[in-house]
Amino acid sequence: MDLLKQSTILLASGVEAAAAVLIGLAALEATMRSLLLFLPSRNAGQSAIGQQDAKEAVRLRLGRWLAVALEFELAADILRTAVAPTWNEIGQLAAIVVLRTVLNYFLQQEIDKAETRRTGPEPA
Amino acid sequence: MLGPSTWIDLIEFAGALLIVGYCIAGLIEVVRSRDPAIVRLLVIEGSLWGLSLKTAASLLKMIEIQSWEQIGAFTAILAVRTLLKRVMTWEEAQLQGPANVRPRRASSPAG
Repeated sequence: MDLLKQSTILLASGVEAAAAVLIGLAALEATMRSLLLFLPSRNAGQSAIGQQDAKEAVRLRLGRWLAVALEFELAADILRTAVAPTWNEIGQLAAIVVLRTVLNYFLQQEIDKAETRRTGPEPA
Repeated sequence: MLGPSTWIDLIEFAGALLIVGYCIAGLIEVVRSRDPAIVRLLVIEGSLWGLSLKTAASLLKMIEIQSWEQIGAFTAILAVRTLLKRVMTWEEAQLQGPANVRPRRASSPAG
Protein backbone atom coordinates (compact mmCIF):
# COMPACT_ATOMS: atom_id res chain seq x y z
CA MET A 1 0.00 0.00 0.00
CA ASP A 2 1.42 3.31 -1.06
CA LEU A 3 0.00 5.22 1.89
CA LEU A 4 1.88 3.02 4.34
CA LYS A 5 5.14 3.54 2.48
CA GLN A 6 4.63 7.31 2.40
CA SER A 7 3.91 7.33 6.12
CA THR A 8 7.00 5.25 6.81
CA ILE A 9 9.18 7.69 4.88
CA LEU A 10 7.69 10.52 6.92
CA LEU A 11 8.31 8.67 10.17
CA ALA A 12 11.90 7.96 9.12
CA SER A 13 12.48 11.67 8.50
CA GLY A 14 10.98 12.48 11.88
CA VAL A 15 13.23 10.05 13.71
CA GLU A 16 16.24 11.39 11.83
CA ALA A 17 15.24 14.93 12.82
CA ALA A 18 15.17 13.79 16.46
CA ALA A 19 18.72 12.47 16.05
CA ALA A 20 19.84 15.79 14.59
CA VAL A 21 18.26 17.74 17.45
CA LEU A 22 19.96 15.51 20.01
CA ILE A 23 23.35 15.97 18.34
CA GLY A 24 22.85 19.73 18.24
CA LEU A 25 21.83 19.95 21.90
CA ALA A 26 24.64 17.63 23.04
CA ALA A 27 27.22 19.64 21.10
CA LEU A 28 25.85 22.87 22.53
CA GLU A 29 25.98 21.56 26.08
CA ALA A 30 29.50 20.21 25.61
CA THR A 31 30.68 23.52 24.17
CA MET A 32 29.22 25.52 27.07
CA ARG A 33 30.67 23.18 29.69
CA SER A 34 34.07 23.26 28.00
CA LEU A 35 34.06 27.04 27.89
CA LEU A 36 33.22 27.16 31.59
CA LEU A 37 36.15 24.86 32.32
CA PHE A 38 38.51 27.32 30.70
CA LEU A 39 37.52 30.12 33.06
CA PRO A 40 40.38 30.54 35.54
CA SER A 41 38.12 31.67 38.40
CA ARG A 42 36.24 28.38 38.47
CA ASN A 43 39.39 26.30 38.51
CA ALA A 44 41.03 28.17 41.37
CA GLY A 45 40.67 25.43 43.98
CA GLN A 46 40.97 22.39 41.71
CA SER A 47 44.03 20.22 41.21
CA ALA A 48 45.42 19.53 37.74
CA ILE A 49 44.01 16.02 37.82
CA GLY A 50 40.62 17.34 38.88
CA GLN A 51 40.58 19.64 35.88
CA GLN A 52 41.57 16.77 33.58
CA ASP A 53 38.73 14.66 34.97
CA ALA A 54 36.27 17.49 34.41
CA LYS A 55 37.34 17.88 30.78
CA GLU A 56 37.17 14.14 30.25
CA ALA A 57 33.71 14.05 31.81
CA VAL A 58 32.48 16.61 29.29
CA ARG A 59 33.95 14.61 26.43
CA LEU A 60 32.48 11.31 27.66
CA ARG A 61 29.08 12.86 28.18
CA LEU A 62 29.10 14.15 24.61
CA GLY A 63 30.16 10.72 23.43
CA ARG A 64 27.26 9.06 25.22
CA TRP A 65 24.71 11.42 23.74
CA LEU A 66 26.18 10.93 20.28
CA ALA A 67 25.76 7.20 20.83
CA VAL A 68 22.09 7.85 21.58
CA ALA A 69 21.76 9.90 18.39
CA LEU A 70 23.35 7.05 16.48
CA GLU A 71 20.68 4.69 17.81
CA PHE A 72 18.04 7.07 16.44
CA GLU A 73 19.84 7.05 13.09
CA LEU A 74 19.75 3.27 13.13
CA ALA A 75 16.02 3.32 13.84
CA ALA A 76 15.49 5.72 10.92
CA ASP A 77 17.52 3.47 8.64
CA ILE A 78 15.51 0.41 9.66
CA LEU A 79 12.35 2.34 8.79
CA ARG A 80 13.78 3.26 5.38
CA THR A 81 14.71 -0.29 4.40
CA ALA A 82 11.05 -1.19 4.72
CA VAL A 83 10.30 1.21 1.88
CA ALA A 84 12.93 0.16 -0.64
CA PRO A 85 14.98 -2.90 0.30
CA THR A 86 17.58 -2.46 -2.43
CA TRP A 87 21.11 -3.76 -1.97
CA ASN A 88 22.20 -0.20 -1.38
CA GLU A 89 19.80 0.25 1.54
CA ILE A 90 20.70 -3.10 3.07
CA GLY A 91 24.40 -2.26 2.75
CA GLN A 92 23.79 1.06 4.50
CA LEU A 93 21.90 -0.70 7.26
CA ALA A 94 24.74 -3.19 7.79
CA ALA A 95 27.27 -0.35 7.83
CA ILE A 96 25.36 1.59 10.48
CA VAL A 97 25.01 -1.57 12.59
CA VAL A 98 28.77 -2.11 12.54
CA LEU A 99 29.45 1.57 13.18
CA ARG A 100 27.16 1.88 16.21
CA THR A 101 28.42 -1.38 17.69
CA VAL A 102 32.08 -0.39 17.39
CA LEU A 103 31.42 3.10 18.73
CA ASN A 104 29.41 1.87 21.69
CA TYR A 105 32.00 -0.78 22.53
CA PHE A 106 34.92 1.64 22.69
CA LEU A 107 32.82 4.32 24.37
CA GLN A 108 31.79 1.89 27.10
CA GLN A 109 35.42 0.94 27.63
CA GLU A 110 36.38 4.60 28.07
CA ILE A 111 33.53 5.22 30.48
CA ASP A 112 34.47 2.16 32.53
CA LYS A 113 38.11 3.26 32.63
CA ALA A 114 37.17 6.75 33.72
CA GLU A 115 34.88 5.37 36.43
CA THR A 116 37.66 3.11 37.75
CA ARG A 117 40.12 5.97 37.80
CA ARG A 118 37.71 8.22 39.63
CA THR A 119 36.50 5.83 42.30
CA GLY A 120 39.80 4.01 42.70
CA PRO A 121 40.64 0.50 41.47
CA GLU A 122 38.08 -2.00 42.74
CA PRO A 123 38.88 -5.58 43.76
CA ALA A 124 38.03 -7.96 40.89
CA MET B 1 -11.02 -9.73 2.41
CA LEU B 2 -7.63 -8.02 2.26
CA GLY B 3 -4.98 -9.73 0.17
CA PRO B 4 -1.88 -11.34 1.71
CA SER B 5 0.44 -8.58 0.53
CA THR B 6 -1.68 -6.00 2.37
CA TRP B 7 -1.37 -8.00 5.57
CA ILE B 8 2.37 -8.17 5.08
CA ASP B 9 2.55 -4.42 4.63
CA LEU B 10 0.47 -3.94 7.75
CA ILE B 11 2.80 -6.12 9.78
CA GLU B 12 5.77 -4.14 8.53
CA PHE B 13 4.02 -0.86 9.32
CA ALA B 14 3.24 -2.13 12.82
CA GLY B 15 6.99 -2.59 13.22
CA ALA B 16 7.54 0.97 12.04
CA LEU B 17 4.98 2.27 14.55
CA LEU B 18 6.70 0.40 17.36
CA ILE B 19 10.09 1.86 16.42
CA VAL B 20 8.65 5.37 16.39
CA GLY B 21 6.72 4.78 19.61
CA TYR B 22 9.87 3.75 21.47
CA CYS B 23 11.77 6.68 19.93
CA ILE B 24 9.14 9.08 21.24
CA ALA B 25 9.36 7.43 24.65
CA GLY B 26 13.11 7.91 24.40
CA LEU B 27 12.75 11.61 23.62
CA ILE B 28 10.38 12.05 26.56
CA GLU B 29 13.00 10.35 28.72
CA VAL B 30 15.64 12.77 27.43
CA VAL B 31 13.65 15.65 28.86
CA ARG B 32 12.71 13.75 32.00
CA SER B 33 15.86 12.08 33.29
CA ARG B 34 18.67 13.35 31.02
CA ASP B 35 20.16 9.86 31.29
CA PRO B 36 21.59 8.65 27.95
CA ALA B 37 21.65 5.02 29.12
CA ILE B 38 17.89 4.83 29.60
CA VAL B 39 17.20 6.59 26.30
CA ARG B 40 19.48 4.17 24.47
CA LEU B 41 17.73 1.20 26.05
CA LEU B 42 14.34 2.48 24.89
CA VAL B 43 15.46 3.17 21.31
CA ILE B 44 17.23 -0.19 21.13
CA GLU B 45 14.10 -1.99 22.27
CA GLY B 46 12.05 -0.20 19.63
CA SER B 47 14.53 -1.10 16.91
CA LEU B 48 14.50 -4.73 18.07
CA TRP B 49 10.72 -4.89 17.77
CA GLY B 50 10.77 -3.18 14.40
CA LEU B 51 13.39 -5.56 13.07
CA SER B 52 11.55 -8.60 14.42
CA LEU B 53 8.33 -7.61 12.69
CA LYS B 54 10.25 -6.70 9.54
CA THR B 55 11.74 -10.18 9.54
CA ALA B 56 8.28 -11.69 9.90
CA ALA B 57 7.05 -9.61 6.97
CA SER B 58 10.09 -10.58 4.88
CA LEU B 59 9.54 -14.25 5.56
CA LEU B 60 5.91 -13.93 4.53
CA LYS B 61 6.97 -12.11 1.36
CA MET B 62 9.11 -15.11 0.50
CA ILE B 63 5.96 -17.03 -0.21
CA GLU B 64 5.42 -14.63 -3.10
CA ILE B 65 8.96 -15.06 -4.34
CA GLN B 66 9.37 -14.24 -8.03
CA SER B 67 13.12 -14.38 -8.53
CA TRP B 68 16.35 -15.64 -6.99
CA GLU B 69 17.36 -12.06 -6.36
CA GLN B 70 14.48 -11.62 -3.93
CA ILE B 71 15.57 -14.68 -1.97
CA GLY B 72 19.10 -13.23 -1.73
CA ALA B 73 17.83 -9.85 -0.54
CA PHE B 74 15.59 -11.31 2.16
CA THR B 75 18.33 -13.66 3.34
CA ALA B 76 20.66 -10.68 3.71
CA ILE B 77 18.08 -8.75 5.74
CA LEU B 78 17.59 -11.79 7.93
CA ALA B 79 21.34 -12.09 8.52
CA VAL B 80 21.74 -8.42 9.43
CA ARG B 81 18.72 -8.58 11.70
CA THR B 82 19.97 -11.68 13.49
CA LEU B 83 23.40 -10.17 14.03
CA LEU B 84 21.94 -6.92 15.31
CA LYS B 85 19.52 -8.68 17.61
CA ARG B 86 22.33 -10.75 19.15
CA VAL B 87 24.45 -7.66 19.70
CA MET B 88 21.58 -5.60 21.08
CA THR B 89 20.45 -8.29 23.49
CA TRP B 90 24.00 -8.57 24.80
CA GLU B 91 24.28 -4.79 25.14
CA GLU B 92 20.94 -4.52 26.84
CA ALA B 93 22.13 -7.02 29.42
CA GLN B 94 25.31 -5.00 29.88
CA LEU B 95 23.42 -1.74 30.30
CA GLN B 96 21.01 -3.12 32.84
CA GLY B 97 23.80 -4.66 34.86
CA PRO B 98 23.53 -7.07 37.78
CA ALA B 99 22.23 -4.32 40.08
CA ASN B 100 19.16 -3.51 38.05
CA VAL B 101 17.96 -6.96 37.09
CA ARG B 102 14.29 -6.87 36.21
CA PRO B 103 12.13 -9.81 35.22
CA ARG B 104 12.26 -10.16 31.45
CA ARG B 105 9.43 -11.51 29.37
CA ALA B 106 10.17 -14.93 27.94
CA SER B 107 11.77 -14.67 24.52
CA SER B 108 12.40 -17.45 22.05
CA PRO B 109 15.97 -18.77 21.93
CA ALA B 110 16.03 -18.17 18.20
CA GLY B 111 15.52 -14.51 18.93
